[in-house]
Amino acid sequence: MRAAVAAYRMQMSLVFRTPNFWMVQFITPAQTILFLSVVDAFGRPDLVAHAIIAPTLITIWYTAVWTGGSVVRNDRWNGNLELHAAAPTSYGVVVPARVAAVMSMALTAVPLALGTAALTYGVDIDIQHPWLLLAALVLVVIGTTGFGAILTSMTVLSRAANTIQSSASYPFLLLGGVFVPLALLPGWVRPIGRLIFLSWGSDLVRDGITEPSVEGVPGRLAVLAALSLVGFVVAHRLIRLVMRRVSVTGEIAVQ
Amino acid sequence: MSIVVETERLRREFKARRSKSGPVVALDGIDLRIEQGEIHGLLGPNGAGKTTLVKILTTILIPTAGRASVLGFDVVDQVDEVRKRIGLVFGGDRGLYTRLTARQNLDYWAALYDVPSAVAGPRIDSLLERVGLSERADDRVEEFSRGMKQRLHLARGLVGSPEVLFLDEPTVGLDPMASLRFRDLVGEIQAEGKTVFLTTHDMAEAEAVCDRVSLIDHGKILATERPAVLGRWINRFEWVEVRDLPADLAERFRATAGVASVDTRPDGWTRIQPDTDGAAHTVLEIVVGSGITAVRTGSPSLEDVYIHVMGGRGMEL
Repeated sequence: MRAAVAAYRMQMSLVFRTPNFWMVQFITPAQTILFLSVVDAFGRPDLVAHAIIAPTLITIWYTAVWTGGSVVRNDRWNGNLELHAAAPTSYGVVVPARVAAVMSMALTAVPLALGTAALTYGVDIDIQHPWLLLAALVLVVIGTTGFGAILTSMTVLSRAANTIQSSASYPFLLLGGVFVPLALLPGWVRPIGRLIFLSWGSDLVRDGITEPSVEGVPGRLAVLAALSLVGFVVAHRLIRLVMRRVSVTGEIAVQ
Repeated sequence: MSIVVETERLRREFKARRSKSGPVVALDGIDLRIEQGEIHGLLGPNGAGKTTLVKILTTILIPTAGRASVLGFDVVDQVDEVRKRIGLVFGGDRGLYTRLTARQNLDYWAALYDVPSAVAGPRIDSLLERVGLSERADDRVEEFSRGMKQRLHLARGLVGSPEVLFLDEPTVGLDPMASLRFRDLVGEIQAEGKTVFLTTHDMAEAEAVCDRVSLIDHGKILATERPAVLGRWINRFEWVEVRDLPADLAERFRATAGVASVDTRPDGWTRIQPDTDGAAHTVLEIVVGSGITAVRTGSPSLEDVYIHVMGGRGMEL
């Protein structure tokens, strides 16, 4: 536990001192303006909340994919991966903690989106269920942390990691109900989307903001938590597998 | 004296990329035994297999064949036991988080080496003091000189209080003064009873700090000897120089058993280079017996020995 906390703290220090880690946050205001302009142009004030939620979740996602995904790659390039491989603490403990630190920064997307909406279109969102919104956001961040840890470990396995990072994002965002609720997508897509934690998370975030009455909250939160946990377990196993593999192949260092 | 590091027929192959010529053999049947408390040098040119051996002993790489143990624990089957008892230090800029301070780097690694918080703080202060970085403890590492970074590397390697410390080319790129200071620190570490395994291609470094030296090339250990034994090799290659050597005497030396070469330089001095034990003594007897007084002798450096043992490949680094 001490190692995980130290890894989290260390990465937070790195995040604050490394612009690459937080510049992804600039997505939020730009996309908020983009989505709100569409909603405004088509005269759909009922979709304003959606226009704020989408850029928030997109930023959280891209933080996991790009900046969280660079943790292992950076360690490998800087020669730190070998030192981690020789340390008593499993890298499978270190990486999720460090990706979680990066993901903590992603939560700034919430005030950024709300602030941008207020400043540009005078939007004042009345959040219906703040605690539900907070719980859903935290679980979404945990879920994306697991996914980010999976992606970052894949950067060692595959030379096409950047391609994977790019190509994985759009389908996940679509199936995760980030752009539009999963219920609005074609029927055959929905069962697939329901396997992705993000679809449960985005629905709960939306409901937490807009719905006066939300049904099945405990069950839906439980599913979101379970799917997020699966990501963590897969990430931990994958990192151990990756470390074992590179110790056999010798690809642990970039020569 | 107990054996701390032991390898038996250790072999490591790497799959060659873009090559159909089969695997590249980095280590080829390494047998090595390192005693507790010694500083053991692994001396060889780039590509000899030094770093690969360190990586296997520190559990970073898995050997293709053979076995290796550190403090009695197998480096493949008992990695957890090995890892908590060793420290690893690389040379150069790699292996530090340069945007963090020296103290933040050490804090992080202390936690990863399971050092309790109450112990970590005082130990980090002590290590920073020891490596002369107390004044710069809270400065970012990216502002450090190469020598300071290397001393921080050493502190990082010691933060887990290892029983065995592996130093892989620790003074590469350092200026002579920084190298000397680093070697002093290594000597202090040995004085605490720790075992140090050091790779280098620097002859002076091996000569200055090691209790024993293994010469490695093409993945094979050529010899493992104490500096005193290396000294006997040095005697074997002790040279004799004579000013204005008569031609007939030069011919006589060329025909003398144990003389490898007789070379006359433009300055009038001729170097007679023996290559067997006692040959230098024979040469000197002949020179003195001939009434020549302008004579001088000299010992080869470890570098010369290294080059002789390596068959001339030695310093092509």
